Amino acid sequence: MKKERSKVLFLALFMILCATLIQGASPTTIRIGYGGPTTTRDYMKEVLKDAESALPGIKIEEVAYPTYEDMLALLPSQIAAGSAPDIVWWTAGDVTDYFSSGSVEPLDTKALSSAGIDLKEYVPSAVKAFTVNGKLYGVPLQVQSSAFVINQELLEKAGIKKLPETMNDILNYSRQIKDKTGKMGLVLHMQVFHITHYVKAFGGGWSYGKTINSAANRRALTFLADLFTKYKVAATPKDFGCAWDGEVFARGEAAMSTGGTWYIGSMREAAPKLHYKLIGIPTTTKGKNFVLVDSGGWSVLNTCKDMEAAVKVLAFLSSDKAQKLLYTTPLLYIPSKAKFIDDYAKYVPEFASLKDLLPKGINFDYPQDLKKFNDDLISGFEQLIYKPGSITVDQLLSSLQKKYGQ
Amino acid sequence: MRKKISSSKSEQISSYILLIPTLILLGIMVLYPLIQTAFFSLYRIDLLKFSERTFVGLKNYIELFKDSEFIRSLTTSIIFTIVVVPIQCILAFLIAILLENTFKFRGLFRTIFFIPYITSTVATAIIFMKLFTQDGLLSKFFSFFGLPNTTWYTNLDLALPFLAFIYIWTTLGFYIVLFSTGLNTIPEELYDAAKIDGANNVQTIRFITIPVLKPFIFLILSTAIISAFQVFDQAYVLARGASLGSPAGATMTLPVFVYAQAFRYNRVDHGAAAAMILLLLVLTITMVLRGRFSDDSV
Repeated sequence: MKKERSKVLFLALFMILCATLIQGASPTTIRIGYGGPTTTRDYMKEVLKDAESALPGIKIEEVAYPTYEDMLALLPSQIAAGSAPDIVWWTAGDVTDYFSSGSVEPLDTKALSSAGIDLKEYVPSAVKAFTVNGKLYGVPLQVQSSAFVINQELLEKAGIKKLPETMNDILNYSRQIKDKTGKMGLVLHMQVFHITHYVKAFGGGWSYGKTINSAANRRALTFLADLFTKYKVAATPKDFGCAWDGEVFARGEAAMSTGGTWYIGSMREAAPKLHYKLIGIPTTTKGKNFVLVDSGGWSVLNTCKDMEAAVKVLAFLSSDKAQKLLYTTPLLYIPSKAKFIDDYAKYVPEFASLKDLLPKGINFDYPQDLKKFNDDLISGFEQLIYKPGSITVDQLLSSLQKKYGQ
Repeated sequence: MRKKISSSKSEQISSYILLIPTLILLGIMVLYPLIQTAFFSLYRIDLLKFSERTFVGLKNYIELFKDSEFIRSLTTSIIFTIVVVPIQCILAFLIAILLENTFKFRGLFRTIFFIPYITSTVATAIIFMKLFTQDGLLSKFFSFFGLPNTTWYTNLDLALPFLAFIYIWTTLGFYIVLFSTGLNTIPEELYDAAKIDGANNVQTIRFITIPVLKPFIFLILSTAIISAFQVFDQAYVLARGASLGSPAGATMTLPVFVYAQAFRYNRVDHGAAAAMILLLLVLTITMVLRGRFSDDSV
């Protein structure tokens, strides 16, 4: 009886030992989340091809959301439920609330450097986009440069030979285009991102909420509102039943728009024969064009249980190979490591006119609570242009200053 | 006698047993979320800091009633319901009567009217958005009746009527079918008797059709009111890349407000409180309706 009992005990101990060993040997799973069209998924497929051999002991699990917007919509609930991916690919400017809420793990630069990530290799504005109060919340993957997009065919039809150099040119060209072609001079997508370009072009900015109601911002919004109401030479994508400015632009319904390097891939697909140009955003002064820069990159969410493994995965996802694939696959994104920019310009000739402006790119300076600020600004601006006289620029900006000012 | 009692008892027990799966499902799918929502509405909760919730009592409700956006969305939903429900019900009733009395191909027409109801609401909204742009087919058509030829859903005064239009278009078929079902339950003898008594069409509808249809009318009205208060998809699509409720909050219905609070601004607490207010509102209206209809001895 005693022998039997010790046999059972031995067997149980042996099984516990085996289970512990098996568990110890099983790889850590890191779930990586991203959203986007087929080009994004194809890019990730290429990047993750050698993940297994490059990351021993780590199993990568992909969480591919149908679109980037879907990912942003689902993440808060997934974070609350503890089912969010460990690492996500997103644009810094879209997710500042995640950084401030503590949903994203700040990255230890020493740990990054020992994993092989050298932050000095990156375009400074890209790193800056992921830095809040001195803490780094992501490793940049691509740089997103804004641009002013011009349909040269419409300009030619309107008898305009030069590209716009100032905001005044934009107004005059818009009027000429409307007169001569019947098309809109400008399309403005109703997002704070687009309005910010005009605000900066007039020498203003949000300064994280400090200067919402500045004189320059008032001038910028008045200029924009006048294009809609006084001169009737501007429209929104919604006016054409379109989802975004690029759709209106590709259809040749408007000659100019604020946009960015993402137009390159979209236009190759939607309007491959369209003769257009990307330039820096004109300001009120000639020769002072600029671009606004944001950065897409990988962040580790605070639900991640193995930070060490996550950093190794970050290093893998930020490798030179991953950077080069950004523009050798149809994704056509600007790599965030400075050494690849020249090569990118060779692959993507449309980018040439922005190349010199990129290193001096300006970061966004949105107030906190960005989504709410965006919605209130857009709602007020819609009132300005769709019901002129119901609100003034000053009333709109001073109410925003009161609500979001610091 | 004994046998009878025991057999009725066992019947009762078995009916309760058969009810259990449904009750469990109802509990999980309806009751639990409802209690959870009520619970969330009493706490301060940020979706991104979900575990750090603190009890605040009725503060969320007080804040909501001080929030002009909430008041506006509540007003929008009430106006929307007041306008949409009568139009929807009267139209559906008249079309159902027409279908039942005059048309040869009533089955075919009933199907045609029902198609918009089973079509994706998002697809319907997008198609109508194309038709209601400036110089669009329907914008031009309505301009003959003195309305401006403009993009309806970017016009602050026309955006809500546009939402009402696509909503009625989508749901009308459902109510036609409900009314048709009701009309089919009216015994033919009643109409024959009315005819013998010399009643005209209007009198027949007034004194036979409507009174007999009362239980259906209660069902249809309640469903229509609940559904109108819950309009979301079409309003969501109308935003089309701009902020929710676009243009300038004109189409911000209460459910859109709830969604925006909970899932755009991560304010689950405000979203839950607004959802509870919506629930109470719909519940009250349904109770009043029920009382009104039972007073008339439905």
